[in-house]
Amino acid sequence: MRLSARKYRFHFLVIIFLIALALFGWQELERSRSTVTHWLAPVINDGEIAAFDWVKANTAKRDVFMACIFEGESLMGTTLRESVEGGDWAVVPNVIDQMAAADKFFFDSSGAEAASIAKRYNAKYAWVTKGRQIFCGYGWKDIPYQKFEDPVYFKKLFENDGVVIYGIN
Amino acid sequence: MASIELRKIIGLLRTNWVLLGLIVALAVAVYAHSGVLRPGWMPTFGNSFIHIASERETLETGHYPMNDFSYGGNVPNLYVPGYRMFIAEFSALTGLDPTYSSQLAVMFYALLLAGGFFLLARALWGDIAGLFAAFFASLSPELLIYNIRPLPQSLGMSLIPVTLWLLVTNRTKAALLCTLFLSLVHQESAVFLAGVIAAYAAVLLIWRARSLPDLRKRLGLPQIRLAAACFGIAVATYFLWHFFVMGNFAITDIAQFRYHESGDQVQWFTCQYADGIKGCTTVADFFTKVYGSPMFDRLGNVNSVLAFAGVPILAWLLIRRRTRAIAALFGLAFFGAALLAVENNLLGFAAFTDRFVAYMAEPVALLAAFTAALFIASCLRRMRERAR
Repeated sequence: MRLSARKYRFHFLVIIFLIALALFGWQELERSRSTVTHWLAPVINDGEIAAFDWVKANTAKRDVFMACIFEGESLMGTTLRESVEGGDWAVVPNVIDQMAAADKFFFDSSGAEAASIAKRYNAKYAWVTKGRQIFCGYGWKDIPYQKFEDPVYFKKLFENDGVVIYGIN
Repeated sequence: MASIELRKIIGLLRTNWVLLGLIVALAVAVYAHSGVLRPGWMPTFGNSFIHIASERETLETGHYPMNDFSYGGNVPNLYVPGYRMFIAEFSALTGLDPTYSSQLAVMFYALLLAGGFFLLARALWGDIAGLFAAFFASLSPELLIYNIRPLPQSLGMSLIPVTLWLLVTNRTKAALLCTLFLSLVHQESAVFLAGVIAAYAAVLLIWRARSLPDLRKRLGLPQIRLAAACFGIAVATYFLWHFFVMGNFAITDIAQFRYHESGDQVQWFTCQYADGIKGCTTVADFFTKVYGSPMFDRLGNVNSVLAFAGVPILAWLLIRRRTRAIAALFGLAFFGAALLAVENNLLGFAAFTDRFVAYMAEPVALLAAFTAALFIASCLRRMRERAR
């Protein structure tokens, strides 16, 4: 049977269109899946996840932690503790000041200044992540750990390979 | 014997091709969303865990917390409660921890999104458009970013096509209930839905002005009455919830408006939008950068090319009265409302302009389905004419 190109041109058009759509569509589907990979990252490390059990056993519900966004929200969701930074900012009074204070607590303050910031926000504990940068709204940064070693202001309560939890004196 | 079985199979395929196509599209949607089920900790981008806090508190105490856990606590829990109640109920029924039930629920949103697009496109332009829409729902990176993460926005965006289907098919009670539920699930989705409904009602009122000059009669049309009721429910629900929690109606005082969250000008083309044509060195520059442009990349290149080609075609068919007016008006209103949402800095809001790009992916997927279905239908019509 001879296929007449002219007679079947619309059949060919439909087939070619569907094949092209399938090929480009599959490409787009895989591109979409690879694009979202970054957004599915847990951010917090395994040590921090393990530390939630300690938090649940040794602190009270709604105790306040000095923590940045991802750590703070993970604490909220998993242990029902509160974080000075993290969550829905819609009706938080002076929220920008609070975010700046959290950033300053971790990155740009002495031990005394950091402890003072924590007390201002009724924070009893500090969640100090190890092994990765953290984000308080002003860029991803490394934590300068030295100030937390000052026993005048901070008391080490828990440590594993992912996090150190300090009590604020 | 073998040929009889083969003929039976072919017969079944011919009579059930829509159902089979839909099953494949739903499988593609589940595949697209399956990344959220990988082992390990739940995604933390997008404030997923703040919702889990309220869900966990609800499960442990039996009461929904009116005091948020955010930013040190002592803050009213302003976020609408529908999504959190939904996940808490799901967790209570299954015994799963909210972190797991949140992730599992994403599979439901995948089916709801693809299924909703199928129903909506099918109601507007027939079975072929419905199938294309169900597939195209999975081809937008931006839509997937916000639909794959365990968030209220995921459920909200999945409910939008379903609610719009109920609206355009005049299923009154279901449309009103769905609008109410959506408004309690996610504020931004409710705002977008209200905008689409308002745009649809507006274009319908304008279109019918010549055939029905009496404005009161036009306002009494069933589609307008239902649109007005849904719009009213979407707006009233959020205002009432805000008043219930905060004791005032000062919605624009929230941080998202005050600090113009995600309110930057979105970039459409590689040549800077603000520069206009001047930003492109040549005319060829402008056109060669359309496919793979930042915006098209986010919306999905296949969907964008088909949709942006389809908009003028749909408008032309509408003006020439060669298509069902309600379907065309709805499609154009949906697209126009999304465009205005993305460019809401022109209206003076400059809030969530970037976030609304994900919402724009919805009418783009729908109109892409229209264009693809129109092409196929035109070819099929020519094939039938030649066969006669």
